[in-house]
Amino acid sequence: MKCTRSIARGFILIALLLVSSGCLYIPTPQHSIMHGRGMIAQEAIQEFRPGAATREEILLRFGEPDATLSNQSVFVYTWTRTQGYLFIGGAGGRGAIVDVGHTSLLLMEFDERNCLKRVELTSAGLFSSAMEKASAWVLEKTED
Amino acid sequence: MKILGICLLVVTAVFLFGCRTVSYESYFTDEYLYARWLPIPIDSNTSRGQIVEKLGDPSKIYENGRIAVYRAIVHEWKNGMNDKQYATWSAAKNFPAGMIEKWRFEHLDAEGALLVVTPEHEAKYQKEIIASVLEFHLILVYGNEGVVLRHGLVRRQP
Repeated sequence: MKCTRSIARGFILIALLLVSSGCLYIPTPQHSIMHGRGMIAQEAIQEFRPGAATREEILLRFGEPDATLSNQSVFVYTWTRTQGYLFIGGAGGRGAIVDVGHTSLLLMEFDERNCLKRVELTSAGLFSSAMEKASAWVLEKTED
Repeated sequence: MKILGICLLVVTAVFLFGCRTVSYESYFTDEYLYARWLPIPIDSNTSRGQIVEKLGDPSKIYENGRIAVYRAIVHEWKNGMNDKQYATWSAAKNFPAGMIEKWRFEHLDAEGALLVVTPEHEAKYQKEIIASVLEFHLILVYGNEGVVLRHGLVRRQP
């Protein structure tokens, strides 16, 4: 049994080595916008406090959101910045360089008086899109 | 050794010359955008009717129309962008920014056209919207009399 596991682990290791042998990922500090609006800085977000800030103030500061949910009660601002490069080698010296992005989301919820109720700066997950993340955030509210 | 140092300095200077950046901040200030691209001066006397007459319907409204947002792009294809132009743009879009951006902004300033992105325009001008390099949002807050109470301009790109 122990021997079988060792052989299986060996095969997995060899398979991983074969798959990844032509790839090289170089991480970098986040920079330059790949998709979406310009980045919204944490300091700019902190200017707006739940209970005090209004939808009008947010629109005047950040502009039209990338998406709205729940009958405009939730604003979604999203942008993607480069956080590294993936070098993919191919046969015959061919290859490609791919920008690897990090998607950020600014989520804002307003109450019936159009005041900011909840705000969160977060990231889209590795296996979920920005809108899936935003929709899950809206549901969190319902469960509370 | 001294000659080698001078050679390195010259080589570095030549490389850095190609890496200089264009200052978008000074080129596209709010004042510039208001004066160059908005077809109507906006102040506390401007009515909703005057704005709709010049800019058309807003891209989106909030709070039963109290707030109107105009998502505006500026593009250089006044007569529409054909497939060939779109293919050329797609091929050139990844060139180093300094090589084409300055020329492109000067050209936009002289020849560009303003487009308010509405749901109808989104389908009709898809290529122009994707290829546009200048986008800003005009936010208008109307008072009870239907005149502008507050307004703001948010530059979206560059």
